Amino acid sequence: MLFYLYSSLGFIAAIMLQMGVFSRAALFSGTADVVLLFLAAWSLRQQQKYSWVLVVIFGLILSAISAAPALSLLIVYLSVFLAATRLQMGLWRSSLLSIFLLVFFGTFLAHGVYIAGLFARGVPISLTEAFTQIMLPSVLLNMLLTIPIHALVQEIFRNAAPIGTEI
Amino acid sequence: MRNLFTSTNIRNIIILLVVAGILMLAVSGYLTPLFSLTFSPLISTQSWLSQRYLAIRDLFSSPRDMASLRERNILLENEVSQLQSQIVELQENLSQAQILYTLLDFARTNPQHEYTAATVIGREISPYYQYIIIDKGSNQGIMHGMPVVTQQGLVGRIDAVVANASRVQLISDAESVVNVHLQNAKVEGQIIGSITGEIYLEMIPQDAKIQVGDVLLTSGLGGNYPPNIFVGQVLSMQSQQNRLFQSGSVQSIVDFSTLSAVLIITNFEAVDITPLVP
Repeated sequence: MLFYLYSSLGFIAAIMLQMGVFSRAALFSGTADVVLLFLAAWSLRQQQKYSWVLVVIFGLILSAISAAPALSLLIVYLSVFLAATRLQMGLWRSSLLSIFLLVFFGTFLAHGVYIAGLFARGVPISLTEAFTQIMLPSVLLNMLLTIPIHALVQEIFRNAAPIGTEI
Repeated sequence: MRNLFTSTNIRNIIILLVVAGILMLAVSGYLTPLFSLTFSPLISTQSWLSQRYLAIRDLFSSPRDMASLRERNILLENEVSQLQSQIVELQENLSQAQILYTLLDFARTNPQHEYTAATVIGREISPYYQYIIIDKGSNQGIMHGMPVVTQQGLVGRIDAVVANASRVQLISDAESVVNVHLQNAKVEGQIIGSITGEIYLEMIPQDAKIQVGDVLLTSGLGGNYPPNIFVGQVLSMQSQQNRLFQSGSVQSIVDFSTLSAVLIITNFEAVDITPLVP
């Protein structure tokens, strides 16, 4: 139960930080995605049976808040969660390499979904501009923030849900 | 008489005279060196004794004093930190008040509209969309499509509303289109946003003479925005012979990255022309 409480508070804090702070701190036009980073670190740490419910709930909340096409954020976050679950089963469980891999491809996936959404709405966009001005700076910012957020999540959930416990 | 000069009385009289003499000598100051000589060792001894006593008393009582001093120091430090946080809070309130006063000035100089002031509480999560979140919603009478301005000019329009918050689409968003007219050139055009937040000027006839720095105002065409709201200035223009229209880039007068408070025009109803769009 404590795990779900900590997780919910973590997601809420990540969303608030993202909207209030990190979305304003842009590198060129790219921004860090703290929610994605938290989700990646949390997904690699969790071992609970119903964790995916939290991902769905917060994915839906974010889809409602965001101007991005409906459910696009939910798709991205669920994909990252599923990828993390697969990585957990593999050799790189909870390693830094796993989270870097997850964040790197998760960021590209998220941006791919955003661009696809814009194309679907008929908005003319330059892919080169999107890649150089938004995607690459965002990937860089995400990679820079990966270690501190990973460490923070590990520390928070060390007490809430020690590895090996199944609730 | 014989009794008067008894040996006892004579002795007493002599003692009285001696005492009176000593007193007179003392009062007249003749005995000062003698007193000094006599009392100096006593005073020195007394002083030494007193100092030792005070030192011993301090030795036993100083830990209590130190503890009370430390407590006092902690209290004062707390008071200082509280005062410092109050100063920071007051400075923040002051800057907020200055912003609100400026917005109020704008509202006074444009009395044709009714305004509701709102604070910007967040930005869109995705970097591809230029939206902000404000702290006023349907409970405060905010409705979809209402224009949003600052004292400097046009910001955007209300895109989504919940009870106590709203999402505002900025004019720099890739999906935003605003009909404008150029004051000097007397021509109509459109400004279109982009994924990076740049604003472009489109649909300007080839024969129009546009100068860098020309002012853009909302034209009111399309019914999405009231007319004559300041939008920005022309930054550059490109004209190609094989194209129907000129295009250019626009410098918005509003700095969207530092927006902290906005005004919503609440007495303007946007015209929904969606059914007319083919």
